[in-house]
Parts: sequence; structure tokens; C-alpha cells
Amino acid sequence: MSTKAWIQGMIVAVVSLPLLTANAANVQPSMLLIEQGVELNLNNCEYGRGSRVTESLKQSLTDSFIQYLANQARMDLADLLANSSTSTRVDSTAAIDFTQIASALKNHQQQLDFAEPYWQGNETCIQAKLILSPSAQQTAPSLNIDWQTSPTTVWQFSQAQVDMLQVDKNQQAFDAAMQQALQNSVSNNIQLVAEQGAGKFALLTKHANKIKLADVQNLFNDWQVLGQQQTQQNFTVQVLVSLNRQKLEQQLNTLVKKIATSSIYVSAEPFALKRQLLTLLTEHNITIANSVTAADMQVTAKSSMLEQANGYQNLIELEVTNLNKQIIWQWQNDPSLITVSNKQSHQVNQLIQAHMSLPQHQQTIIQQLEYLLIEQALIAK
Amino acid sequence: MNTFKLALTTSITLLLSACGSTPKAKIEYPSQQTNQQAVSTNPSEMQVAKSAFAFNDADIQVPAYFDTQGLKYCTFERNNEDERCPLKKPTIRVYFDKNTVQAEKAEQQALAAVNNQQIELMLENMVAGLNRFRIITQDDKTIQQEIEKQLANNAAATAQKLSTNRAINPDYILKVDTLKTADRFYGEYNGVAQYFLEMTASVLDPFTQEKLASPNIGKIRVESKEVRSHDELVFTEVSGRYYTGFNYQDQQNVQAVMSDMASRGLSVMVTRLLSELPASGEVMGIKGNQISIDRGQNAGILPKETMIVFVYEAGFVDPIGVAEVNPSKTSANGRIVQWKNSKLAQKIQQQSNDGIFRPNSNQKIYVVSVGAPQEYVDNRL
Repeated sequence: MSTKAWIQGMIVAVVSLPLLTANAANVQPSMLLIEQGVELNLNNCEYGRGSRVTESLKQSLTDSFIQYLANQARMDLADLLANSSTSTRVDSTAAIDFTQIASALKNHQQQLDFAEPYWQGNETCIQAKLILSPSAQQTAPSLNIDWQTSPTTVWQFSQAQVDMLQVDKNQQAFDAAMQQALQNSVSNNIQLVAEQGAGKFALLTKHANKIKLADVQNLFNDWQVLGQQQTQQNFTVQVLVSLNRQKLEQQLNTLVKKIATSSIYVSAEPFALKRQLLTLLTEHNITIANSVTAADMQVTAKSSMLEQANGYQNLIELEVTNLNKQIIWQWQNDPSLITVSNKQSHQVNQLIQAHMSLPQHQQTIIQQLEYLLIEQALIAK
Repeated sequence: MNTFKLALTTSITLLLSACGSTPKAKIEYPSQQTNQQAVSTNPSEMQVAKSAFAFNDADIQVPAYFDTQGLKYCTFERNNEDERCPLKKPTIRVYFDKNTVQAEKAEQQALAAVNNQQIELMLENMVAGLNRFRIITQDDKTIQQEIEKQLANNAAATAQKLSTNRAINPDYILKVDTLKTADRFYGEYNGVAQYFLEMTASVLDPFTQEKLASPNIGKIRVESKEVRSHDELVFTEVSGRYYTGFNYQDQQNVQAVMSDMASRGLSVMVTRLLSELPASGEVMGIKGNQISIDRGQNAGILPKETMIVFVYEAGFVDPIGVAEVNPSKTSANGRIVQWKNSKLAQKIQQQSNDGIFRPNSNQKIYVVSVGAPQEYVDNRL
């Protein structure tokens, strides 16, 4: 091949390359004038099968429509109208605002009309259609109301329902429901206080609905029963309550202080398990006690290797006791997660590390310990 | 008296014979729909599909067990497939029977000690490649080795992976039952050892303990003379004890022969499985002689698969040709090698010559494989 021919070839290649890419990006809908206005159609395919492909295909079709509506649509319509004979169409279709529709598609206020996907070889294909008529342009004005998110009223609504079967005979259903309604209101407020109090009450946020403050009635300025309904199964009561936020915050403050000073003693075998537990607790700001006597709670953990038909599995058992040596919580892992061929000590340590590093296990343990600390602090009060 | 009796009998006989000679009467034989046949003791042979090029017009018929239900229910997600999707394959674990042995004492021990683990794994590999089932392996050793390596590398990440990808529990069991028989006879100067292996396979539901009717593999018979020449199994005894030649008491020797026999039996089994569970698909379009099929390797279509193309309309099947099909991952392409000599086939051929013929919802076109492709048998078994 001569040098000249080679250079010519290169020029052709360089020139045709941008053309090719332009073609590839040029997947755009075809426009058609119809009775109601304008119809846009686009057919596109993507390699693969299944919902993920369908979803991405729909997204890329939408993107092509947006691109087309924002740039090319007006010109295409002008071309079409120039060749069309009826003048009435010109007036009506000229009213279509393509940019507005493009932004409506972008904001998911308007959807394309997708046909059922079909397969072509290894590809999945979808046909998308969009009919634009001048009358459809009058989209409803968007409701731009800024809803107040924080309650400003002192009075709050609360509701509770009790199961008639669970109500004690001596205790009336109404009393039980009232108690529950007030408790619900307190829980909601704890949640609010905790959320607004930023880091200070962070611990309480997660457990707000489980915190049962003693002497709930004292926290309320007043309450008013709005209504009550009784069916065979349950009893419902709606109340309007006015809660003393200051008192509540005081109570929560003392509670948080108590929890902050509580500590846990950890005893675990083998040492690898103890190390894992200590790391986990200190990471979550739980104070570790040096001796059992100084602690408010004790965590006892042990690990053992279970022999199975096809190897060994690691069982981790955890037990929490309070000051009175009562067991208040027990937990164990799912040993069948990992099976290994031997029970040498390095293998055991790896298994302990593996099981204890699972986020779901860590979360369960920490949440429960935090809750138990709160519960113990409430009892102590 | 006697004369009277004789006369009476004669007259009745005459009367009866006169009735029997009426022209309308016919002798009715009992219907015979079955034949008597001796049970075969011949070794089993592989069932191999004829090449599409070798088909006669009369051979183009729809084989049994085609299952062409639509793919519209499929999610194409391996672990979350819809029950109605034809690509949802039963999850199975493969078991190869422990040794059931019938033999005399001397060779019994060697035969009973044959290790089936490797045969089990081999069967897993062969069946997995067919894509008719999802195989859950029995290879605990290799898996544990890998898990232990990964634990040592990063215990936390390994545990996390294992907790999100738990081992699948199979729905069914594929069980191969075997009967091994050893025999030896001694001539004037030397003796010959003979081994027989009979295999049957069943798919059973471990929960209901039911054996399923499909796939029906039947019985597979393998003889030692198929894997070893006569000379290799000859031995000499001196004073009734083994002296030289094939040592039937040696476990290694017996294992070698048995493994080869089992391997041969498995090949036969695989070809039968492919006939029992043919690959099928729907034809999306025909262009000239080329057909485009909606599923490929994912539905177990093998390279150079011989498939019958048929029209399915109102519950009736009309074969229109035979094609050689090559799969890709999620679809397949084939070539109709021979069109059937029928009006319907000619009509479709005419239309597909003019452009792409697309079947409609009233008249669908399907393909179904006729058995193990020759190429698969030559190169994979």
C-alpha cells in the first residue's frame, strides 16, 4: 500500500469516526402528526433480560425523549407543519410547549407510554410512545404549600387501643386505654425531645417507644377525652393532651446522666471473644467496668466448637445478668453460617472474629445492651 | 335307551353345525395389543440425536415432553425466579448409591470398598453442564478449604458474604441406585473375572419422600467387557489361590474397572436425560432459513443441537422442519436444514424468504430438541 493511500485511509477513518458516534447518540423519537396533535415514537433495545434491563431501558428511552424534546422537537414540528396542508393544525400544534413537557418527564410528572417489552436475540426491546395534544398542556398548577412540620400547639392528639381479651377484669378497659394513650404521647415527645436535643439524647431516640417513665401523670398539665369506641374485640380512646415539656426534659436529663455513669463488666472465653466484645462496646461508648462489683450489668460470653457431619461450627453464647444475678437477656449466633474442617485454635479465633463482625449481630447486641442500660437506670430511679 | 341318546346327540350336533354355517357369523379372536419378549441382558447404549442433515421428511416429527411455556413470567434473576418460569430449574443434590454388592467372598471385599465420592462429583459435573437442574455440590472438602483461606484473609468480609449468600437447600435429590455384581469362572489353565453394573436413577422429594415420575431414566446396564478387554481380566490360580494376572482381590484394580464402568453408565444416563428433558424454546422470527429463538444456554440448549421446528395452533402441533441450533447465553440462533414437505411449511418458508416471518399469538412456532447432540457426545462424554 502506498503512503498516499494509507494517509487517505486514515483521513477517511478520522472523518467517519465522529459521524459514527453522532449516529449512535442520535437515537431519537420519530414525530408524526395525528388527529389529536403530535405523536412521538421510539423503539430501543438493550443487551440482556429481566427487570433490571427493562428499567434501564425505560430510563434511557425517557432520557432520549427529554433530549429530543428540549433540542430537536420544535424544528421537526416546523418541518412537518411546512409540508402539512391544514392551517388549523398549525395553530393548535404550535401551542405545544416542548420544553415544559421535557421538564415534566424529567421530574416524573409525566410518564411515557411503554408497550410490553419483547425480545430480539439476546436483546430486550421496548417501544415508547408519547402523544402531545394542545389541550393536554393545561397541567394542573402544582400545589406549592409549605406544610408546617413541627407542631406549634401545646395540645397534642393521642390515641390508644387495648385488646378486650387482655384487659384485666379488675382494671377497666377505659383506664388501660387512657394509660396507654398517655404513654404513647410521652413516647412521641421523648422522640421529639431526643431528636431536637441532638447528640445529648441520641441514645434515647432509638428506644423512645420502649422507655416507660414512672409517674407519667405528673408530666401532663391537662388532658381531655375526645372520644371512645368499644367493640367486642377492643376498646379505643382518643385524647387531647397538654404535656409539660420542661418536666419531661428534666426527667430525661437525669436518665441520661444515670446511663452515662452505668458500666458493664465483660467476662468471656476465649480471649479472642472478649477482645471482640470489648472493642464493640467501647466503639459504642459503653463504659466497661474493671470488676463485677463496680458494674451495673455483667455480660458473660463463651464460644465452643460444635462437631457436625461435615466439619466444625462455632457457637457463641452471650448472657447478661443484672446486679441481682438475674439473667435479663440471652443471645446466641447462628453457627451453621460457617463450617470449617478443623478446630485448631487459630481457626476458632477466625470464626469468632467472623461471627462477631457481622453488622446484624453487632447491632442486635449493642441495641439490646443500650436498652438494658436504660431499663436498669429507670428501675434504679 | 342308548340308541335314543345317540340319535339325540347326533341331531343336536347337526343342528348346531347348521347354525354355524350361516354366512354372517365371524370368529372373534381376543384382541392382542402387546407382544411377549425376553428381558434384555445387553449392555445399554447411548441415545444420540441424528444430525439435522441426516433427517428424512418422515423423521420430522415432534418428540415427546416438549415444554415451551412462555418466558413472560421470568425475572431472569437466578435466585428469585418465578415458579411459572420455564427457566426455574429444580435445585438438586446428587447421591450415588453406596455399594450394593453381589459377589463371592474373595471379590466382595474389594468391590464393597470401592469409593463412590469421585463418581458422585463426576456425576454432579456432568449434570450441571446440561443446565436442566441447579446442582448443589457435595464437595464440602473443596468448599471448606476455600472458606478457610478466605477467613484467614479477611474474616469479617467472608462472614458478611456468607450471611448474604447462604448455601441453598435443594428441593430434590437425584439418586443413582446401583447394583454391582462380580463373577469369575475358571477354565483349564486360567480364569476370567467379570463385573456387571446396573444403574437406575430417581428424582425424589426429601420432604414428602415421594419419587417423581420425571425424568424417567430407566435401567442402565454396563459390563466389564465394555471397558476392559478379555485379556486384561484374565488371572491364574495355583492351588485355588490367586497367583498372577488380574487381581480381583485388590481394591485398586477393582476400583479402576468399576470407575470406568460407572463413567460409561453416566454417559448413557446423560444422553437419556437429554431425551427425557429436551430443550425447547419459542421462535421469535424466521428469516430465510434462519430462526431466532427466545432462550439459549439458559434453557439448556447445547451447541449444534438438532431441533424440530413446529407450529402450535389450537393445541395441535405441525412440524415444519428440522434445524441445527447454536445457543448464546440468553437466546439461540438456528438454521432450518430441511423444511417438511407440507403446505403449512411451504407457506411459512415462502413468507420468510420475503423478509422476517414473525409468528403471532394464535399461531406460535416452537422448537424442541431431539436428544443429545452428536457433537456433545463426541467431545464431552
